[in-house]
Amino acid sequence: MSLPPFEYLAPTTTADLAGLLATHRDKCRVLAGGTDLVNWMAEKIYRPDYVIDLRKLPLSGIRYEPGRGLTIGAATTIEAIERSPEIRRFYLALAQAAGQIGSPQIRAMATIGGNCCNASPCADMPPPLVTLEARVVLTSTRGSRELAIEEFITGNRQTAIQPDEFLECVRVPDPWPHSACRYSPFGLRAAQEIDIASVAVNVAVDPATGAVSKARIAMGAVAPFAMRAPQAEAQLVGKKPTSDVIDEIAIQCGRECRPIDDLRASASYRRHIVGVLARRMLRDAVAAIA
Amino acid sequence: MKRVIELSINGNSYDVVISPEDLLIDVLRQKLDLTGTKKGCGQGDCGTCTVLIDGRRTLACLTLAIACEGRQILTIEGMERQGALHHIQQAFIDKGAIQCGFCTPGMVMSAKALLDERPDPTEHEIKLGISGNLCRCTGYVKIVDAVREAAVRLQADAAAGKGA
Repeated sequence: MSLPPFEYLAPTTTADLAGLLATHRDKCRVLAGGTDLVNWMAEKIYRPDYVIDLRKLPLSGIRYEPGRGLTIGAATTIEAIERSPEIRRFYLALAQAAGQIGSPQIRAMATIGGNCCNASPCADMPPPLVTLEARVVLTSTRGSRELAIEEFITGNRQTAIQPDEFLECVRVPDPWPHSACRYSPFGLRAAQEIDIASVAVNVAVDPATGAVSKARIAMGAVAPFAMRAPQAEAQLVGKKPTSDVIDEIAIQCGRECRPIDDLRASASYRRHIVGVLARRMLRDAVAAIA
Repeated sequence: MKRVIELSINGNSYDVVISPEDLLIDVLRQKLDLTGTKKGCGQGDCGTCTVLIDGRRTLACLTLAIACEGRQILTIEGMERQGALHHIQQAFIDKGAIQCGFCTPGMVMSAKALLDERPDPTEHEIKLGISGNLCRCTGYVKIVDAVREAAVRLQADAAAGKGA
């Protein structure tokens, strides 16, 4: 198996990167970890004239500042996210998602930018990013713009990125007060599996009343993109998160998702699993707040 | 367009003529005759092509050789020292952790990355550490034993001041 020929470019400044993208547009592909792109080139899904490698660019790094939130450079490896003390402390769902991707080798190579831009319906990073109200920064020679992750990922392997833009970083606001976020995928084996379904939750509880004040729930691998469960979220807000309430919300999540039958699981099994995961993640999150 | 790049592999410097699309696994095996690293699935699933680049586990089948310029590559050939096998390699032999042997180079490199970070791993940590390496002979029990044994020997060396 060999790759189709291309010219290799490794810019050292983001201005150079933007210039190359503006020049080559659809004739180039951006290379980060390579765990998807190299496979797709080998399968001749892509035959770019130019491959633009991000590795010499200052696009990796994790910065957390209370009051300003979290910034993750697009070329930050999944392994770095999994291990980041700040992310484990303030945004545990992101570390949980990172720790479930591929294998140790894949996690050492793959990046958050690649996981978001390739926009697989079963990608692990988007569900927790959706629940954490994450935004992506897209940059080109025309300037930078910011989009909510839900506006960025528009469909199965489709995003709002333009041919001359690159994903610069992912921004996550400060955690809600008195909140916790959790994520769990479900697959048939513990490593190197493709999720049957996944659920991320982010819940805040009002310490005065004990009732849920804010809630976001996102489900992966059960729709063309990580989808929220707006009715379940609305039902949860204002209620005390008792075991009975959580059970009801979990069932509602299973109703709201839009899974398909495929070789990994049937749609009805996916709905069931979404309910199981939602119940577990909501219980974990609520227990962590209390 | 072909060009000459300099690769640093196992502490040696190699000038190699490559095309941008050449994969590291093919350059290692076909151009440099470093055939210890195996090519299995060729799509990043099996882990037998695992090498360490700047100390991090990397799949040589998904890595462009041209992207490795200026980085330190360690392959299975770089594990032995002055004709003596590395403790991890010897432990694999002593514990019977090698059946057909095809996964072994990748398993050893994953074990090296694990033990560099966690000199005294639990059994669970060992399993996580080799979770990206498939053994189609299914000899995982003895592989985990071997990594555990290698950890003990490496720690004994470290305690005796011999280093790894």
